[in-house]
Amino acid sequence: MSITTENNEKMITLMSSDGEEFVVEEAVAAQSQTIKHLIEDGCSTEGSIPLPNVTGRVLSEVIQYCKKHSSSDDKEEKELEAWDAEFVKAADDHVALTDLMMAANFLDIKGLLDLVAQTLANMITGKSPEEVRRMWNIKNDFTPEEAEKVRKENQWAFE
Amino acid sequence: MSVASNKRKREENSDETDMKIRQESCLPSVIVEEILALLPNKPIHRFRIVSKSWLSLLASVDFHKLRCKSAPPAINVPKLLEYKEKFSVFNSLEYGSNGEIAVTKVWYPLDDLVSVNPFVGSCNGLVCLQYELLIDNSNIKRKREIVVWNPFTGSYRKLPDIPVHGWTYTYGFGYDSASDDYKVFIATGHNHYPVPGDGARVDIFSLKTGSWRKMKKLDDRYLRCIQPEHEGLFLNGALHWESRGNGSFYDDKKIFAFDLSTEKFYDVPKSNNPDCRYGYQSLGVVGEYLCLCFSSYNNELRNIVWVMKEYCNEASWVHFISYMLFSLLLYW
Repeated sequence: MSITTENNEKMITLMSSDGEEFVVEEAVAAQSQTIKHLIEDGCSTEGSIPLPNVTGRVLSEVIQYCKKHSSSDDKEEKELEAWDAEFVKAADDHVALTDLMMAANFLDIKGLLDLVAQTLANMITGKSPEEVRRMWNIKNDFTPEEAEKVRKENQWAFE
Repeated sequence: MSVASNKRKREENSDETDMKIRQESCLPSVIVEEILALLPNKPIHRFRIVSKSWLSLLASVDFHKLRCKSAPPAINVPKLLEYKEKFSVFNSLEYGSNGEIAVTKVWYPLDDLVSVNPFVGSCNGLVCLQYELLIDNSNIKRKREIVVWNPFTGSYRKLPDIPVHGWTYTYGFGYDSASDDYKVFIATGHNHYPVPGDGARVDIFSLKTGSWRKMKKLDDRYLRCIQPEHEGLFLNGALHWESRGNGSFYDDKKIFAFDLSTEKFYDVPKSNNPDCRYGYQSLGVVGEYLCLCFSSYNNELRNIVWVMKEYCNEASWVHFISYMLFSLLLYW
């Protein structure tokens, strides 16, 4: 489905994995390389573009980011940086950030991917391995002996 | 159903789905890589213990490459390498903008090295290391290994076993522009230092062919002069050594070199100036110049450095710098 707005901007409809529809300007949606390619391949002419890996909640955040970044080409970089910082702050916790990052990865939005990756990296830099495991439900599959060996080899990093 | 309630319902659903996905599959490895590549050295080593898949990721060469791409290059190009034997740790030393030396640990893929002085040489950003591996736990049987390592990318290449056993007199590592190849030079023999009839030989490894080759025609005169434990210094396509002297002050040591393209030894001229000829001296490379550092005692202990401004031109040796040694101690 493609509609045209008053100022002749082509609109695109995106559908999240849970069936929510978002109507956005093509220029905004095309911030995602994945969507851009889908549009180029003619996938947007009939109905909406389905995004089976992204929930509506996450997609609305992604669109918020894309809107800001498609409209502020000429604006000051500093202002955009401040906006980015607020944006990831609003994402609240590592769960939301991880979802956002998976969406950015699937949709191939480099700026967003880098932004969220850096935020998560900063978040875990000072954490212990145990805390990191808890954050992402990672199973510790080392035997106690193996774990001891790895710890010994990297002892300086624990000091 | 109103839009609002519809949306709320979806939110609940999506949250449930999100939870499910997270519990089942956790994080895709590509996401993990992107995040971890942005971390400093310490957590990268600390997080090796998180899980087996994290360990194999964090220790992989591909990860290190990704990391070098993500981080500002200045962090990763080692200017000076320092090796701390006790911890098997390599540090990169760099002058920071504040004038202080920044020490950054450099990731080294082979953690099992046991060597007091692992450096063989370096050129074009590649570092050649030698180390000994314990073959069994008896602490007696050892195997010597040589590795060519790129600290920037983290990639490395273990050289096949050295085809000779016995004493290693000297190593060398350099680039041969004629064949666009990196070569490792090793001189070995059956005595502590080269003497006639000790079966001394030179083997050369070519990174291109990936094999060792014994040098057939060997100029014995030069090989005999080699001072054990002094690695060949790479400059101008050749490895440089100072001859083994007799230890006296007026010992006129020779400088000689091995051309990595022609694979022949040649003499490097020293200055006629006696100040740059005699004395306790050691050979070095300063930037693109060969240099000689003399220790002299004339009221005070000084180090005097001469450099050869034009390669192999004996008239081009010039005094470069002098500095006092232990000056504070001597004033007492």
